[in-house]
Amino acid sequence: MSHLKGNHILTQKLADFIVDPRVTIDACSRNIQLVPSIARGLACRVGQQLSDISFWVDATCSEEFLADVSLGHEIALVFCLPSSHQTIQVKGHSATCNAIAIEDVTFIESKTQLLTAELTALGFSPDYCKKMLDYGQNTIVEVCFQPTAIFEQSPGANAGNMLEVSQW
Amino acid sequence: MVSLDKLRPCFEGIIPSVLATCNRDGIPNISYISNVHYVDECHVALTFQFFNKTHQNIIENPHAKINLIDPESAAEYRLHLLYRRTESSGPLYEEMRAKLASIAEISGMQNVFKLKGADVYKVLSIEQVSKPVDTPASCLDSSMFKLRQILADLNKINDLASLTEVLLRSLKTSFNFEYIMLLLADDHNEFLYTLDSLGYESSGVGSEVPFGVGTIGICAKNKTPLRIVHTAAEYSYHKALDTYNSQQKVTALERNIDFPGLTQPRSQMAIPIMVGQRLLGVIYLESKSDLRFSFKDEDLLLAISAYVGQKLIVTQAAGNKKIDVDSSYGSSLNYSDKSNNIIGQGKVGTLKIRYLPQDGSIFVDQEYLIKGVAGKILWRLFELSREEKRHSFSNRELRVDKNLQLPEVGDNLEARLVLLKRRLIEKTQDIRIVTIKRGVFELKLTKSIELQQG
Repeated sequence: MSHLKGNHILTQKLADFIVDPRVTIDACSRNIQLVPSIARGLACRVGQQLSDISFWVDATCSEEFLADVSLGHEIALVFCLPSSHQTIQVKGHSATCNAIAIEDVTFIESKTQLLTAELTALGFSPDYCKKMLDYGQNTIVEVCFQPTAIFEQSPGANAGNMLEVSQW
Repeated sequence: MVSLDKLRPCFEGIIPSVLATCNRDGIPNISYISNVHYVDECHVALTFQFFNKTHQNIIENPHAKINLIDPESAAEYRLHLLYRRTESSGPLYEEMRAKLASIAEISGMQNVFKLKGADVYKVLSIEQVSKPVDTPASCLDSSMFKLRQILADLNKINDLASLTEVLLRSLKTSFNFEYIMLLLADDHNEFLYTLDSLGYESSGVGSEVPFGVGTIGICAKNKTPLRIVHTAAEYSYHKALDTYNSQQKVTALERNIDFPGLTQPRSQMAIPIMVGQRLLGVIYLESKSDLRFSFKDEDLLLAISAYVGQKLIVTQAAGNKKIDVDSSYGSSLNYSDKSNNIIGQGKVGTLKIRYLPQDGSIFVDQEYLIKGVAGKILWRLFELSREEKRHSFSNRELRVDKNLQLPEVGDNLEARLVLLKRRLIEKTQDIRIVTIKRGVFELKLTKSIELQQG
């Protein structure tokens, strides 16, 4: 039985899933008192070598999370395709925070539009999606980290188990 | 801090919430959860299902954060939670189990979502995350005015029959509830019987729901409101009763009054009628539409049910006053002597009444009428008519009648008489119980009656 753990754990199929613009992204870290912090991911990108993941958050509503990440604390991200409930959790460390590159602004806008289409197909109004997915274009921060473990998180008996490579 | 009360729309299970925990080694864990439950102004509860890592983490480190999104305004909130305990039975557990079942149905995960426990957390802080977002133009919430109207209408009522009629009619006209039932608990808290209903093809008056079976039975057993806003096969009364009947080997005879409920309700709400810790009955509402009942409806119905509980006690006490029965009430009947089994000899036509003393069942011309205490009361009325040649009776004399052996406290006699009157109206044109004045009624017969016991 082979688990996804250690360096270069992402497969191309897994990478395709987490960068799918229809997928929701939420992230967490924790402070020194082990109190968790949460941030909503705006979009995600995987490095060419599949060894690192970048994602973006709106700093105005992610202050605690960014502070915890800056202190080098571990992070965890959950990715979910709403129409299928398929969900995975990626854990990692060595995260760094960077300013957003100009070209990534368009990438995030495009992702937001496609996620809106996914959610409106499920019955949410475009107006509601716009409010829910809204972010400040001038306050986006990039977070880059190395994944260390991936877990099955789709609802069911296997939720919480480490992901089997054979399935991906 | 934002009040937890104001976040109640977030707990309807429409938008999944994000839950973050952390183990003792500092490794965080994040997951989506479908069901955050409002417990009180300081506590929420989360379902403990298959997210074993989350449960393991909160045992090691009780701190958690949760992200909620308002399904109406899209406003976003983060709650800092502190784990307190897990409940695996009781009212809170049952409320959450029912809610989870409806979420499972709408998600197509009926066999996936299984509640192991309700994890209760104290809310340490609430932070509104996003900037204030546009909210819909405020509209007048008339629910408090409607509540005031309903309570005012109920306040004028002095008898149980009127109470049930006004209650059901008001719920329909004020809130547009389409399908409503009022059920009362039997003396031993084993069954609830339908005292009245509104909106159904057949009233189902007299039909029974065992405690613990279906939405109504679970509500009664746990004395807790249940609200299900999507189809939940697990909570279908018909399915639940079929299972119960097959387990209990219930005979066809015992199922003669069909439950009137919808076969596949898409929303259900059962509200216990309580006086102190005593359960008197259940108000049950259902709908063919999803999301028909909100937490606001639940709050309103709980307020109404508390008042109905008090009125039930008052109407019961009012019917217990000592009243001398005037034998001149009503038209005289030609009663036969005790040795004869015929009442009202000489009338055109005869009804054959059969009585089974083991369960109080009464059959009119071989057709099932009623059983239990209501059946025993009717048989006793026939006996008294035959033996004492009278047709007027008082509630009080029935209460002290040794043949009936009604309990001294909480005998539900008024409710049984209301039930009996309605069943007679539905099943025969020839027997009526007519109220003469408070606590006094008359047995009216248009045919002669032939009695048969056993």
